[in-house]
Amino acid sequence: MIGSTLFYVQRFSAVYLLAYTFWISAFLITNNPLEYKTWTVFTNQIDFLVLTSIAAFVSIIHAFIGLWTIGTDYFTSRTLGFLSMSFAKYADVIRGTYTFFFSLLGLSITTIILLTIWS
Amino acid sequence: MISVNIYRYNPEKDSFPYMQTFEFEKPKRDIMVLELLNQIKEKDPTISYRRSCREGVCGSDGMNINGKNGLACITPLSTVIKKNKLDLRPLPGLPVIRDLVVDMADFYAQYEKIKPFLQNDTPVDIGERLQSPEDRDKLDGLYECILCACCSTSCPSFWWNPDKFVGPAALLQAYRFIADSRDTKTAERLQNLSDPFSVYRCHGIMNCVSVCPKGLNPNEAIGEIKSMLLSGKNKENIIASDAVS
Repeated sequence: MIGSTLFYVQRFSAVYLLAYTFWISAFLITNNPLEYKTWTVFTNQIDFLVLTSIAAFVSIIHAFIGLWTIGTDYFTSRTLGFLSMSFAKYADVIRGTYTFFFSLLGLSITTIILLTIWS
Repeated sequence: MISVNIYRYNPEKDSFPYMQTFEFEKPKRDIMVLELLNQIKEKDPTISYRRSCREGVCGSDGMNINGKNGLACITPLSTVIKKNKLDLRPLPGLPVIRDLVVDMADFYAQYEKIKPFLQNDTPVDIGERLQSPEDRDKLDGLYECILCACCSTSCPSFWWNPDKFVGPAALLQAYRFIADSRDTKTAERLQNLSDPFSVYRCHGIMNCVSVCPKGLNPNEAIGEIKSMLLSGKNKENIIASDAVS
């Protein structure tokens, strides 16, 4: 059940981000050359603010699932044991630090995006 | 002359594994890799490898032959030798017991996990459980697996998580029973595979298909299991919906 949920979340988030990229690209192409006033009006619209906020959340979820998958592949006692037995002993700590670091990074980036567009 | 490099490791004597080279006259006729190994064993009886049927049925002599897993007994030398060199290593990802012999415990533990036997709680009508020819056909390409472990040990996801990812060989067998019209535990079987590791660690790189000595397609079976998990449909409600329509 959790496997299917993660599978769907990762795919739907990817589709959303692709659609969002197309939408922004279409705006930039149709308003070429872009002027400051046009860009300001566009980025102050409620649909831009809402869709970009969703994109920020979706991208952090998408990244978390991908990076969690990588972490549970490569930062295990077995995998780290190929490098060194002392690394293997601290596999859980290494993976926990890795997860904490990228979670913090993701939350920081999302917070910066939200503060930038809503302030 | 051909050079055969063989992975050697005897934990009672060696601190580290090493490659030992044997020089051979190139055989006049094409021989199987196992036959070559047997000739080497006559020169050096300390070399260890598994073999039994020597015709691709028992699955004992799975090994890494010039970088690709395969059965030594049905792999002609001419198809794998490169620049008159042949490297023989144990199946990757499993602990080495000695030389080309690996510990298959992780592999069999995953096989055991999928309950590789027919489960049916309903009483038997006439002494045996019957199956239509069409339903029997669905098992072709699934039941032929000989559990040589060539596929699972060529899969990086199995290398990283052999205790959590079921691996292509066992998943092929899981689907063999999921697809069997006589088995009534499809929902339970799917439930047991629904965590993020058992099936979903397969990313479809298809090494398993590339190396299978029996020409089977575990990736397709894994795809079928994923489709059933994602759609929430299992054999029982597919049969039920067919009956309604």
